[in-house]
Amino acid sequence: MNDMFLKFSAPFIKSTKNTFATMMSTTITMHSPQIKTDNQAGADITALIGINGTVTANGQDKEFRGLLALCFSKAIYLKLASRMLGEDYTDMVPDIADAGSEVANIILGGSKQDLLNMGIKLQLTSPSTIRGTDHEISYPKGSTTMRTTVTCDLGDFYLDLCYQDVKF
Amino acid sequence: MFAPTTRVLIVDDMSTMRKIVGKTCKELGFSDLTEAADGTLAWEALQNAPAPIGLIISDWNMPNCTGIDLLKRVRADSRFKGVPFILVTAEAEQHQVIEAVKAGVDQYVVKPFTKDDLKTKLESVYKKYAKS
Repeated sequence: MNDMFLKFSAPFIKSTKNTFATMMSTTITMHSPQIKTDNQAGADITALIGINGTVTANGQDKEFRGLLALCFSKAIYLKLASRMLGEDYTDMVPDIADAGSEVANIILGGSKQDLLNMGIKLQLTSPSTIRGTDHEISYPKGSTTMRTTVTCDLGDFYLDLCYQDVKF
Repeated sequence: MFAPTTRVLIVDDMSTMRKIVGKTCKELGFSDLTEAADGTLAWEALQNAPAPIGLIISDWNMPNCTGIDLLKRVRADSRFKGVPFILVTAEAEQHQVIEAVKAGVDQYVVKPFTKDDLKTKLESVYKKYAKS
């Protein structure tokens, strides 16, 4: 784990904790991140949002590309959506199709100000969802992906944070 | 607070968030809710509503017509310029808040929010309009 990742991940950790505490009334525990080298989601449902923008340092601007992905089993996704909406969902229905995406969107939104303070200015991007067993995630080329297992009272899920180590 | 019969227009491209805001509104006593998935559809809903819309709760970041664009359109139209408008958004950067205030937003709710957060903002908007 390098300094860039430690610095870059801090706003997301803070925002993820806040989002789950506020929207799902749960406390999350994040385990040690591991470098991810394949594209397998290892999940049934992945909500993802691009982290695209510019990073400024030493008076220079450079393009920055990254990705935030939340990877859930179907069972955990249903529990998460049920908690968010205060209803009991036992199967995937249109009402909750974008619940994971909305969580990803809120996490990114909550990270933006802290990232801006670090010199990373993000563009607006829209979240999306991939569903299906054995699906893959297209991580941006030339980036590093760190996978963190997140535990809460709903169960475990993965948070993938993909970033570029921009050199100046 | 607002009369329970107040017609509320909830605008968000995410069905989950429309449902969360709608559920919160119902818990706060509102019963007449209309939904739109972006600013363009919300504008149509405003014009075609069988009874006047009395409150708009809109997301900021949406395709086609954003929440801030909808707000500007509403404030520029003599038919709707007095409708209370709340922006609910994940965007909390200072320049965006300033832009929203300049455009005439009544309150600004930052996601993630609780039912109490939204209730507090609604009460604040109600007090503002009750005075005027």
